[in-house]
Amino acid sequence: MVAHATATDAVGRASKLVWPQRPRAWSAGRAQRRAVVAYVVALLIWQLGSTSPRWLGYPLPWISHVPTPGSVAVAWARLVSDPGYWRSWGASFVRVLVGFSAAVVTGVPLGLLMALSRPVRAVVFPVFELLRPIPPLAWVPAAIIFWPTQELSIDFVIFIGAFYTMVLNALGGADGIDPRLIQVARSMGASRWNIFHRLVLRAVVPSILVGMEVGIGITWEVVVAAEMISGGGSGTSTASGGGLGFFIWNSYVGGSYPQIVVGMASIGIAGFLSSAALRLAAARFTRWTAAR
Amino acid sequence: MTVLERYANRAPDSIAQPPAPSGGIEVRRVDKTYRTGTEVREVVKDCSFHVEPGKITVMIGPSGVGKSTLIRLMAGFERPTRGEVLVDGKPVVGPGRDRLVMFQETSLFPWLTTRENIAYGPKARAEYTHEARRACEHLTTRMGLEGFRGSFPAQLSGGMQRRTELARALVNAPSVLILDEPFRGLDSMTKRLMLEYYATLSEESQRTTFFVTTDVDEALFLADRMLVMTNIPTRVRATVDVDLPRPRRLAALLDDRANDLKAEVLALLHDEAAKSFAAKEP
Repeated sequence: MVAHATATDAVGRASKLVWPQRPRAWSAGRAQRRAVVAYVVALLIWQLGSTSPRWLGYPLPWISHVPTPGSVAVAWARLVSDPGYWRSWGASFVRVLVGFSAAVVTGVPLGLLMALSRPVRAVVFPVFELLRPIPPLAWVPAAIIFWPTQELSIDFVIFIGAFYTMVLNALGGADGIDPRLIQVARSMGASRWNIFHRLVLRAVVPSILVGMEVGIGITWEVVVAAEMISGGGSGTSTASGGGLGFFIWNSYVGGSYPQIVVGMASIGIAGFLSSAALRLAAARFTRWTAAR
Repeated sequence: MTVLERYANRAPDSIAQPPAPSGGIEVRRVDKTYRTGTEVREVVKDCSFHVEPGKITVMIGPSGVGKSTLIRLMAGFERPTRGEVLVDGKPVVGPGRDRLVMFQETSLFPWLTTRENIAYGPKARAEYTHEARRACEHLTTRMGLEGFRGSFPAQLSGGMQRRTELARALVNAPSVLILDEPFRGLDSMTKRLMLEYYATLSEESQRTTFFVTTDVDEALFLADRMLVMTNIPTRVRATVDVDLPRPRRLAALLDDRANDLKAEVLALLHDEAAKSFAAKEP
């Protein structure tokens, strides 16, 4: 690091060689190998645990009630060709997408507005802070009453789940802008609009992306619970079209325990995929922070 | 041939310079008081001084006495509680591109590359003409940043960040450049290089400079005139004209005249620092 600093300063143009390079490829490969090992070990523990009555003579607490990986795999293989299962995926994904997008589209402007306008903040923030502790699921009955369709009620509950995080992250991001940057911009004759869209909107990107990553996780938690409670959507009484949450509930009611695990694992995968997609987008939009 | 000699031997450039020395600043009987709840803090009291156009005025004083407050008043980020600040005879009512500030630590836009940072001013004013582009390009080369046009600030060393910031300010052709301990936090070698580089730059361009520091050597090396500040609430304790010949070299700081000046300033500073120290005792 020291060598890097002096070399660049003395010459003014440093050679690329003195850049501190992160050994990215090497560590990524290693991390992936470790992840594979972790999955294998987890499966092994699961297998041993769920078959414990057979090889141990008595059931281990909790884990022995879980269907074996084998039976889950069989159930899953059967479901892969069942369009109803995929419709459940689709239904939950659409709900998450609608509720989450609504939260981003409304939460970010509200957060920015509170950051930029003292009167707005003085009026909105107290109400916001009072509503915020109400868990999304507490909104379920009210949402069912308020909204004309059950679909909209579920979307609304999901929206509530991500909304507060989006508002707070936009607000926090804007509050955290170095005031000297704004002074520099003002000195150089930038207009208020220019400062807003060239400076504020750029500076808040990292914290909004963090908010989205946290928010999408919450929406997956919420969608499943909302589907279970509200019965999975308008007019569906079977697993088809009811969403993954309803799929799990339906499997439980129908006594198909391996399917419960399939449903749970599906949600795990869905959440993982959405977070990964967001992280990918984040890395693209915040190249300037990666350099630190 | 060292890098600095190479810089020094370059022909004086005319781009991004005000036509004639302007940017004289007059600070007249300024008070600045901050109120937080019931607490009232007098930071600046009855402070008057003059920054001569085309010259380097260096303000030196113990740390934490309100030098940065004076900078904010001169830049127009804050208004004085009493008194007024005039630039070229006109009262300061807000920030303006005629007075640009370079802050203590980097205040580059972290999401913009070196090229975009330097071009920020002209672009923000929708004045990014062919000429402005050439001025940006010229300053990039001048500051030795050619190889780093596409780098983000976090990828630059401390010295390069300072040079990018200097270029970002100079491209707007300010009539006065205000620098608030700009080289603080750099390692001593980089700091020496930046000092010599800055001295060469301002000897060529005759730009009005107001430079704040706590370092006597730095002050002596750059200054045409030094303002030695009192303890808080601050005002000017003494004005010292630095009549060392130009162009200056850091080695010149070792001669007798420089040593006399240094002793004089250090005595004043010691006096004020002792007061400040005593004031902080319960």
